[in-house]
Amino acid sequence: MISGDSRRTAVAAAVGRAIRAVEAVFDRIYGSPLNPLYQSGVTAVLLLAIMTVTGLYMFLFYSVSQPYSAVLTLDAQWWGGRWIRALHRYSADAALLAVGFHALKMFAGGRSWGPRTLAWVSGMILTGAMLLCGWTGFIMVWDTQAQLMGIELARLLDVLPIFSEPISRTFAGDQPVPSSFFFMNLFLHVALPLGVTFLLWLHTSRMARPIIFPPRRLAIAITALLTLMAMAFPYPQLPEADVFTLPGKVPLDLFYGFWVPFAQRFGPHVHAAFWLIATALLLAVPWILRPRQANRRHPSHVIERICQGCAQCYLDCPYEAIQMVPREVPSEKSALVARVTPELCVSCGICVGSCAPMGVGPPARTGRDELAEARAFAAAHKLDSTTVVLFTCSEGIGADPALGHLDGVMTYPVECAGSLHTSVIELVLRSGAGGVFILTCAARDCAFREGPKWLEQRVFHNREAELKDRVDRRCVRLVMASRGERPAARRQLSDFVREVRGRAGSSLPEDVDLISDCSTAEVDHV
Amino acid sequence: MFELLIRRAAQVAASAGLLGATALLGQWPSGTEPHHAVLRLAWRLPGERVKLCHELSEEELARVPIHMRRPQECREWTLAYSLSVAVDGREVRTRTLTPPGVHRDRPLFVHEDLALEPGVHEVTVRFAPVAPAIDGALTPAEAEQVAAAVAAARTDAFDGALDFPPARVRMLTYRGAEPTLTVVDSASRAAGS
Ligand code: SF4
Ligand code: SF4
Repeated sequence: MISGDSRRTAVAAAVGRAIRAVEAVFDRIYGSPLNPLYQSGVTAVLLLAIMTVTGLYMFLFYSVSQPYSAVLTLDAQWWGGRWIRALHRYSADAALLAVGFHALKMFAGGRSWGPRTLAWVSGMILTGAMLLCGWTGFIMVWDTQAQLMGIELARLLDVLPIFSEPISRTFAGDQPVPSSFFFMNLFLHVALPLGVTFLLWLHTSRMARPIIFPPRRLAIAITALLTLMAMAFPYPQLPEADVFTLPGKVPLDLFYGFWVPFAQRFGPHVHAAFWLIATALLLAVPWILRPRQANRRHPSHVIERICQGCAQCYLDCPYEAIQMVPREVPSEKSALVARVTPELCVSCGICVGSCAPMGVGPPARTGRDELAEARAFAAAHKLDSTTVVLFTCSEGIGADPALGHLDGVMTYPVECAGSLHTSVIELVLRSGAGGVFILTCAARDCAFREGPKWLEQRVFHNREAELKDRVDRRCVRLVMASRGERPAARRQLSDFVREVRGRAGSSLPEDVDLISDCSTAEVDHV
Repeated sequence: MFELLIRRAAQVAASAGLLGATALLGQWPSGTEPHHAVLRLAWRLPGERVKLCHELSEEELARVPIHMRRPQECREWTLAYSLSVAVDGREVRTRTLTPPGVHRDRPLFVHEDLALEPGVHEVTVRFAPVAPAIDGALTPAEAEQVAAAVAAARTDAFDGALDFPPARVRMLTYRGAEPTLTVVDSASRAAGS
């Protein structure tokens, strides 16, 4: 019998496989650092920024008493208004595309429930606000497409038993559509982005160091490409809305108006039911996808007698799940001690790699547990100076046979490379391995946001808990690669294996107790 | 070098493809040319009221607290209307329109779209007040008052042959101060008549 959990996981996994296949194609073309699919959320924000700037320009020419002629005037500016309007539209479409992909990726990656519930729910409300903003934008133009959308939206609103006079009467034609209607519409179109800004803040409020925009190169490329397209192919001007003419073939923006044919065919009540069910389902995803308690990963915890109050885990946690609080039992080590807020912890284990004395981490995944596992691994495998231990992140390429079967390579999968304690690297080298090759996810595609970044700093830039100076860095290679970059990762691994073989092994000084060496505290040894 | 060239070409092609797809989905040809026409009935009518008042007797006044005593007690209704539409002699719509609002006192509105085959059709519209359903018996004088109010309320009718071009809407409405239903379409609207 298939449990509810596995059914849900199967759906998410199927979506995940489809997404990874598309990402792999994009990786091959753009390379992971410039793959826009790894930057879908921030790309949407960039596009919102473009819409704000172009929208401000168009606002100067808009008139609520003559909306259509105002847009005609704007389109007559071949040197400005025409392509600025097109850029506004293209950005709006691309933003919705980016948001849709972002949501799917979060859904597939199981990043929608627990501590991420707020981000998911606010993200869905954000998407709703974007749709509303888009609809008001289309209606502003008052062309045949606006007429189609406006009439169907009015019919939808009329399903609510709150208006004494149906909104659709605005478009009946017995009276001209009043300026007050276009004023209200304009007001919404301008006010909604303010709400979007607040929602964006809420959406990222549980993240430490939220990234708002894509890397500069990608941002420039996206802006330039959209501008070029807007200049080369401005949106055609459609005929003015005429409520006495039935709209025939009308070019419809499927991003914002995908529902129009459905609404026309099935009527406002079925249409309203569609939005109601879709909204309820999307908002309920965190509760639908949440695994049973027994299957959830446990949050991190701090062993207070080991904690030295250095605050490194507090600085590194990507989800602001750790606070420094006064100790309940006073200690000479420090006045403050780290404390995890379980409701905010996603159990990524990144704090494990932060803690030199190995006093924090999810149950059975602290630095001490990692060391114990690494010892068992070393005991079970014959490590010699020609062996390369491949630490590979299960969230990324994982234990790929194409890599693991390389001669002299022993695969050591880890849950998140960012949670790897540097002492484990040293232990493996001390156990005889000639080299350590760490394969993390692409930097911008870490399931836990900052794993590869912190690991790289710990290994090569002395960030706490740093890899000790005594470890020859030539024996350690860190490669950030996405699933689509397997061939490149394989090449780098074979090069590294050759390099390691070319060396006569690395020498590490006398035996060191890695646990006590990492800590000035008196601690229990595992 | 060759590999780099191939990669750049792929990047340009993929970007163009993505942008092209976005542009295409942003103006997807949708809908079909309509082969029908529409007769639209759209107007708004401020409520026609019926008010029945009677003088309170000394005994009735005595039963009311002093601060609430008024010499008259009134009941008021807004008239409902019946609408019937026939096209080429065949009845296509009959409705009773009750005034909206919690107290049923808001203006009445009519908004009906009837799809028709293009061509000339004989259209008949009747829009007449309906006597309100009143609880309790009425005195002969009150019954007369109600009947007079209903008779005095606005009643409308339209009878005529109208030409319906395909994909066009022809609307029957009250226009300006004109007391009867008149035909409006995009041509007359554009002419401002
Ligand atoms: S990193 Fe370790 S020692 Fe430092 S505050 Fe966190 S738990 Fe305490
Ligand atoms: S496991 Fe550690 S780093 Fe990750 S969210 Fe929890 S407390 Fe933060």
